[in-house]
Amino acid sequence: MMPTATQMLAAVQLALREHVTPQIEDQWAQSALRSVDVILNHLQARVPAEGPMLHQDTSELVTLLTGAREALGGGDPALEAFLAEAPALLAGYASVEDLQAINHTGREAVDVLLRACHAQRGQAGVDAVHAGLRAYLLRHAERESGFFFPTYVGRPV
Amino acid sequence: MIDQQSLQAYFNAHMGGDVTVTKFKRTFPGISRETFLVWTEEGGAEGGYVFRTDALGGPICPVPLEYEYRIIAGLFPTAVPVAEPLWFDATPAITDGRPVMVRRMVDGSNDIPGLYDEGADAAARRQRIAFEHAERLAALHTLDLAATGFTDFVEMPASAAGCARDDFDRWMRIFEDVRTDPFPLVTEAAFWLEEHLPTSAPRVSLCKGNNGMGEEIWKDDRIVALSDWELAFAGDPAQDWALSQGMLTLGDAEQTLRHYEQAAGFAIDRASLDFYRVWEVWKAVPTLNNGLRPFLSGENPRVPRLNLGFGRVKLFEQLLGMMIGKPIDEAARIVAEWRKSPYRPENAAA
Repeated sequence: MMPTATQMLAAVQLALREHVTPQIEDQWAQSALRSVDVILNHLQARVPAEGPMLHQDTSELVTLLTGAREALGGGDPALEAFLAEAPALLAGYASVEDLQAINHTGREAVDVLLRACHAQRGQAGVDAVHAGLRAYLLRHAERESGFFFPTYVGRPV
Repeated sequence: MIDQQSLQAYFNAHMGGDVTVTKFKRTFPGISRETFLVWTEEGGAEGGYVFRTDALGGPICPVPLEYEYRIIAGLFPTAVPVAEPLWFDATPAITDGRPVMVRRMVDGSNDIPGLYDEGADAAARRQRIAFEHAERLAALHTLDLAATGFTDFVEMPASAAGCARDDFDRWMRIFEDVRTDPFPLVTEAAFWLEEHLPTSAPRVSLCKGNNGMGEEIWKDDRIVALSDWELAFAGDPAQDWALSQGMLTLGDAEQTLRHYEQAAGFAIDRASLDFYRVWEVWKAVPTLNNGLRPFLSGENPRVPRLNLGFGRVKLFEQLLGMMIGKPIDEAARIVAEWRKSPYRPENAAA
């Protein structure tokens, strides 16, 4: 059985903590090691979870953005590109890189829709779409929370 | 490559041949901009200079170095203590064209030894230090901006009532220009904050931006130079207190603010202060995310850019997600709790 990426990252981190960090006195080198330690924490949280997270998140975006287009109309290039490409991508085997790219496009479309909702707030149907978008944003933040919190709390450099 | 030989040639070219660079040191951390302390011998006397340039690929903060230089040059003749500005170079060879500014070195330190000692004497000292900082901010905030020339190049709100709106609009433009991700949650947080913009301010002041612990030069518990002006702007003085990095927790916050108000001659609206505490979290996203762009382009592929421009930004996004839609005073309390994290000087001291 191969060691997982997470186990290997943890081994790198342990080696640095046990044998390198205690030997370092220069403040630039200490700062570099702190930064590397934080990145290793981040990767240990992200590597095993990012693919499934992006698949789940992008699937929700397909439903959300399809409904938003029906309510508010289409035409935004990001929205159209996302809805044209995402369903097929999600149906097959998708690499993490492909999921990152399509999720990015979907969130671009969310951003455009949020601005449209803000400009048209109070109009029939708009507020419901806006509420759905906001609820998605909070779920998206919750899904990736473990990648960044509490990993990046602490000294920034 | 900045080394003693290149600094020697550079200072000779600017100051004449009678200058010898005896030593130099890069200051820590200096991730956005690189700062070097340069010691010289000039006709038998010792000299000291601070050489500051953009980091590779540009600064983190999306503000040109020349703007910071002009702020310092404008302040030098006033009662606000700053290091003497000597020259600005837009595209010098020593940095392969990255801009440089040079100031005279000030005798002091951004560190205050013993600040977090135990006991009543140390606590009283911390309060005095907070008062000292408050007095310097009051001097800054009461400057006549037209008479000192700042209205010529600093973006000015049309009125005191428009300070928050003006800052909001400026930073929304910056956010749209520099972001490396759609960040829709940050957009949504902006719309939430826009509903709560303060509509009054005591006056339009020159504000320092980042200020407080770690940002100023101290000697014998007095500020000898307010330093780091890259985020200076014209706006509501309450906003500077929202960015006063540990100063309001150094002593009693209300006592410190009252001391400031007495020196400045106007009051800080506590509700505005709450708003700006939350607004500064939002502003940190475009400010830091700008620093990721040279990382992504390969111009500056170093880990601090990654951690500040990506990880830290995503952390602030998470924080905005915790606050969005809440009353501003409740959101400000969340920020205050979060600010107690170990990276704050007062918590990192141990």
